[in-house]
Amino acid sequence: MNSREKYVKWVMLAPALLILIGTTLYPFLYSFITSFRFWRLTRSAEPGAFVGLANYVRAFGDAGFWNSVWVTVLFTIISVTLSMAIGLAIALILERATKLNTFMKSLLIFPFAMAPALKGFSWRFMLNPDYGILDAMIDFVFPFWSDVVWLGEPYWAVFWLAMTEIWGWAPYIALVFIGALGALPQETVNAAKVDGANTFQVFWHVTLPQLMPIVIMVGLLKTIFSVKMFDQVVTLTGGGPGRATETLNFYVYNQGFKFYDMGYASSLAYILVTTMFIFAFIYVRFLMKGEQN
Amino acid sequence: MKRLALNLLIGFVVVMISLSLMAPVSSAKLPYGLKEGMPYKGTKLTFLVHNAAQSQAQAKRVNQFTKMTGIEVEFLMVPYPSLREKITADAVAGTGTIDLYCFLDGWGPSMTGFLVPLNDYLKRDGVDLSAKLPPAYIKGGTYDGTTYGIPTRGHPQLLLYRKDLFKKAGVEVPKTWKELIAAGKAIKSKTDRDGIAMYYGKGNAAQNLFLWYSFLKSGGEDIFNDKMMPTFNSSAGIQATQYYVDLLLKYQVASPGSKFFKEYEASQAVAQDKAAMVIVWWWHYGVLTNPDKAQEVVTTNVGFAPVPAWEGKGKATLALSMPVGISKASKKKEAAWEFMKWLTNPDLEKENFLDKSDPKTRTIVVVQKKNLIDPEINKVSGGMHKAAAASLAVSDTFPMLPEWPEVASSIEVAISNIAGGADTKTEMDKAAKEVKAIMKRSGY
Repeated sequence: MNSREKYVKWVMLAPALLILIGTTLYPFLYSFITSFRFWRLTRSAEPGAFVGLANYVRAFGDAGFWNSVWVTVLFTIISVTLSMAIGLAIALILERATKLNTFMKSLLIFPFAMAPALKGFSWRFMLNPDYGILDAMIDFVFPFWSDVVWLGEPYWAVFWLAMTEIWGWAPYIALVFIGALGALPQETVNAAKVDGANTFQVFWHVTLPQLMPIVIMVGLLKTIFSVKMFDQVVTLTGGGPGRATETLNFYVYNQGFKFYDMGYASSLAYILVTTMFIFAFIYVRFLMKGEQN
Repeated sequence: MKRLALNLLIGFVVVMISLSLMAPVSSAKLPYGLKEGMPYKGTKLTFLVHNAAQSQAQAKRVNQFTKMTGIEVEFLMVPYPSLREKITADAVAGTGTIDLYCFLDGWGPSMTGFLVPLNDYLKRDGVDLSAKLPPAYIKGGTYDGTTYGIPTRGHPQLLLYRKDLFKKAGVEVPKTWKELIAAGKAIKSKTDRDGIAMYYGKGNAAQNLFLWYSFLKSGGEDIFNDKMMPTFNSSAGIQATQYYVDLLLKYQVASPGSKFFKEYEASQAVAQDKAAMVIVWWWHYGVLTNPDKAQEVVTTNVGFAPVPAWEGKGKATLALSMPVGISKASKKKEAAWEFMKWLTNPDLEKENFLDKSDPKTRTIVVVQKKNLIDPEINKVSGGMHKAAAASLAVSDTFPMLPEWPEVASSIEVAISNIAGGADTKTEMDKAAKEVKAIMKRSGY
């Protein structure tokens, strides 16, 4: 490649790079600088003085922040674990190529394609104790739960928030696993069967280890999405009851767009980003490396 | 003689011609104080507003304004939950893309940095808001003595109830909270419906404080004292709060779902024939009488009454309004003010209200004093506007201060927890501590 070709390459790339810098890098850096400033929109539309690490220090003494961290961790554990487990179970059930399975596989994409905010509205409606269909079904099957107001109890509210996420993600994860299962070499499975392994032993000792790179990749992706949870919090629970479902992302939004404390909101957003970065780093560096070994 | 008659005839003709020439000039005088001569002809304004039926009706008639002034207006309608976010994003960008904002009264003080003070405009054009609007609506657009917005939509609270269920239970419409509990119990035992649908849930705009505020204020307590320190956790405040949640917890006359309901879900509990009463903004009357939104037995039996109060104490309710203001970044402020003069005129409001061609328009309301007592409007609404005017006379807004959204959030959490069974005093003390910290951080 001569220097002229190199020059042309950059010219061709420039518009895309400029858009990328303008829409991603600039806000990213601007919010980072803002996180070290006092900026309350109630006082001024312009950022105020630099306050050093004051916004970060405030976060560590803020009970609301720690509550949102705990809620996010709890929600992430429930939603990631169950999404992966149910997704894998669906994949194993629909793995065989039959007409019914092909039809079922095509249906799997629908819950994932649904807008997250709409998921929240729909589930809130379904759980309404006066006319919600899901509430009525649960009351019918489990009469001892008929007095429970699902979104009025803190732990149930977290559970249902996680369920909206699992309902959308498990089918998508199943599709990914179905693809991965189809690509696994059958020789190892057959060899294990010849050696007398039962179905569970084949799955546990042969299929799952070969599937691990996909499990890790999907797990990482799902964890990042769970840590970012926002839409269904707004439409399903509003962060309640009390502060029971206030996730970190929801808390950051409130600080910025509801309370107009832009400096503090930016510092919280950076804590969230840093946490996700560390998490992704550990995942990729250690777990994937372990798999390669 | 003939000459005199001829002169008189000529004089008469001249006078008549002169008058006929003058006539178009006088009839062309524009109403509502709009400027003559179309000085802003060709200007295009953008108005950011939530997509309520009221805004749609205004947009439908905006051609009347364009015809008179030559100013074109685009209504940028967004769902209410994202309105504040849109205003903030536009105001911080400061490009002046949007010229006018419609906002919730409680947001106003935190948005004064984005809004143009209107006092000079009002004074220059001789607009007397106190002659046009109830005090609570004026207060909703004012902060620190400066007017930032004029409402075209506003709501008093009313008790909406099922006449047939009350008759079946043999009870009268309650005037006090005690009577409300008695009526709720009778209805529950004799009609198999919940007495009242409450909304203690957490969500948009601290809705679980709407009714709590009526309990608190009519109980003689307030959120802050004169030094802006919290008083809602005083013994009177705790008593009012306890009574408020006891409709569900102790007396069990409220729908079980009240624990997480938002305002609209409480209204829907009545619409779906599950509960007999709800205390909400008056526009819900339009929902409960709409066959597309409520069951037939509800639409034909719903009535309205003033919000009950404590026995032996005065009445006090909350009023809410959606003022319209001019963006500080707008490059067309004068044209925007012309639009505001037209938008806030009583004739437009009356025309919008009386137009029942579309079922969606049932939720359109009026805010102008003149229209609240207008016989034609009251005939159509069955006298609801007169009842609303009475409610507005004893109404107040939430505290108008920039920190209100944050303060409201702390109390909202406390109410939600208390409705879930947490101790009232502990939760209110905790909220008061948080509010103190917020106010201290803001320099009070």
